[in-house]
Amino acid sequence: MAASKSERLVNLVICLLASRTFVTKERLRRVLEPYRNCPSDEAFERMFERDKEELRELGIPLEVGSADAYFDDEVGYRIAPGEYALPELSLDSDEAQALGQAARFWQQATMAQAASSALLKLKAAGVEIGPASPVGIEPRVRAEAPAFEPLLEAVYERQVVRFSYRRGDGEVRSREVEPWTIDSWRGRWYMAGFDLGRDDERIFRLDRIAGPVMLTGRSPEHPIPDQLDVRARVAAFALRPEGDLGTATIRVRKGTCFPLRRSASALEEGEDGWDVLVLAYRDGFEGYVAEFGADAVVVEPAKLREAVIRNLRSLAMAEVDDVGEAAAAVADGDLAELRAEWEAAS
Amino acid sequence: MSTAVEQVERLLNLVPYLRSHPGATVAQVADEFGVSQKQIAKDLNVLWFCGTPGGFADDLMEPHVGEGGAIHLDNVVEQITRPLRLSTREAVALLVALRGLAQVPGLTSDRDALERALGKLESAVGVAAAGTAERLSVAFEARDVVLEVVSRAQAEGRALHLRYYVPSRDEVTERTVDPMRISMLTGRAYLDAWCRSSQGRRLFRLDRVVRIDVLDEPASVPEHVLKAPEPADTALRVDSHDPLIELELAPNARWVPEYYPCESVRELPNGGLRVALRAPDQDRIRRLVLRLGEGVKVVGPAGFAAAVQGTAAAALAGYGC
Repeated sequence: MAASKSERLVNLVICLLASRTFVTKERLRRVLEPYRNCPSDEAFERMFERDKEELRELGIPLEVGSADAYFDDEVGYRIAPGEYALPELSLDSDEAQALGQAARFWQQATMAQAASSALLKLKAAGVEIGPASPVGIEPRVRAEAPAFEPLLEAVYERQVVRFSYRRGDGEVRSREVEPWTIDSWRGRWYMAGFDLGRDDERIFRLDRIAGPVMLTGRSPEHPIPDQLDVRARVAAFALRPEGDLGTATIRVRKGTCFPLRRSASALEEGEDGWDVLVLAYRDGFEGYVAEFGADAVVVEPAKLREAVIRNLRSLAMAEVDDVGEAAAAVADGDLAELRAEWEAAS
Repeated sequence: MSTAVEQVERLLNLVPYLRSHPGATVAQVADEFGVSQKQIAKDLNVLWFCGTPGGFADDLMEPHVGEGGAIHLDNVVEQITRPLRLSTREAVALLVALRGLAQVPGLTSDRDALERALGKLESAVGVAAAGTAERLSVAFEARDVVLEVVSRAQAEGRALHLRYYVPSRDEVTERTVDPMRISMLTGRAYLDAWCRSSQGRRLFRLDRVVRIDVLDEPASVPEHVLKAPEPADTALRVDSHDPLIELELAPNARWVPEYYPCESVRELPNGGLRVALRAPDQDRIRRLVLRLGEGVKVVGPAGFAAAVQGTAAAALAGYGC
């Protein structure tokens, strides 16, 4: 019966669009055959109520108003053509291409779907959008954090959310937040909002939200500040630099340790197969040096030197069950191709 | 949404689509609307019964399917010749994308078109949707000289010479590549290019480009590569035959699964995590473990644990320990 129902709904839309005045229920029942054929008033009422709901679900702006200039209680319905239809959009071909590119931007399912249904409407309106060029810049965005979708929903529906949040130090607490903005910086998503428990503005990383995000059904009570100000604060939070601890001198074997060489402020080439680098270092730098194994040795400061030694010792002392397999663990040369691909991607 | 409601949504798009694309075939329309040809045929059958109320046959629409499946819609009802306006969600998806694209660094020629499209779309969707779109944003890395060089080479259609760092081997390789596309994924920029040296299509992470030169010779991507279908998301292609490496991470190393694709992540009672990674390239994981130091314990396999231990011992020798 799906076909006859679709037919009824399309005809209802046409009828309500065609009328300049509000159309009463009684008139709709006279004009549209499926309504006319209803066996009882109750059956008609039920059918009409459901149909109205479904038009609203489609985003069709159904207006209710007085159908009679003299009697206020005579209620009628209509769809204002200006509210219903996509306005005329005259786009140059490069603008149309830009919209095509925008529609391919999202890799997150809900956003991708919304973008492609938007594009279909534009195409239906006659906008010509060609296929993607195989050459060019093609930025794409993922939103893998499971919190993305419910938070987006909360922004659309203007609702307070509740979720568990794990801080950087591992502490997990329940939060209630009025969401303001959702922003991505360097591929990571952040939500800024008003934290009701803390009674203050807070910024959250979506990948640190543990467990489900609940929409509370309550409306936010605090005004949303200017988006640009909020965005600037999120940017400062997301892009904050970690402070330098000082300058280190490191010996590196020739032909190795390229990332260290790249950030060096001075490089002295040695004759013994080693070069000496001077570079600014930050908290946690010992791990970065240890990563290069026997190819990098910290000369000074002593504190960094000790930290690297401590780091390496904890690994060298670890219990190992079977040393016989050591050789097998060294990456196989045949894997070079696969490795390059995986490497590039990750 | 029920199937009937979905069909209504499609029909309200289909009528204007057929009007602006007279003679479009059933196959083309099915492809554009993402449904089967059979479904389009069913949709057209519904249109025979849709029209201006009154109930006379000549008030109804007449979709005719001609030779080769070409569709002609006659007696189109004036009221639904424009598609429905964009919903808030549809508008937000396009507006946020356009705004994000317009501020991609290194973009030169397209920026103007993106901004013009943004302006036109904003005025077409209304204040409410445009306002919601303001609350979402995507920003890309701002400072990148390499990106600018690559997009210049792209615009001029020239080949590139790269010195490219491969961290798992701690080695810089030399390659000549023909740039195809710059893809930006998860906040990082990659050059998707035909690599002449390895005769294959490769992704290069731009922050690993040690040196880049635009060559005088023109870029020439082989025809069969241009025509080949878009490779599926190569980003996380990992072979399931690769050995699984298991690690126990201390609470301060909980960031690892945020950066490395893990097959499984389990909470530990001490606030840490137990993760399993699979990689064709154990060197990469070994380097990760070396970096973590006290923050990690290798669970297995034993061969991998021994390799880590061996590397750490060799490194300690450099400190006279």
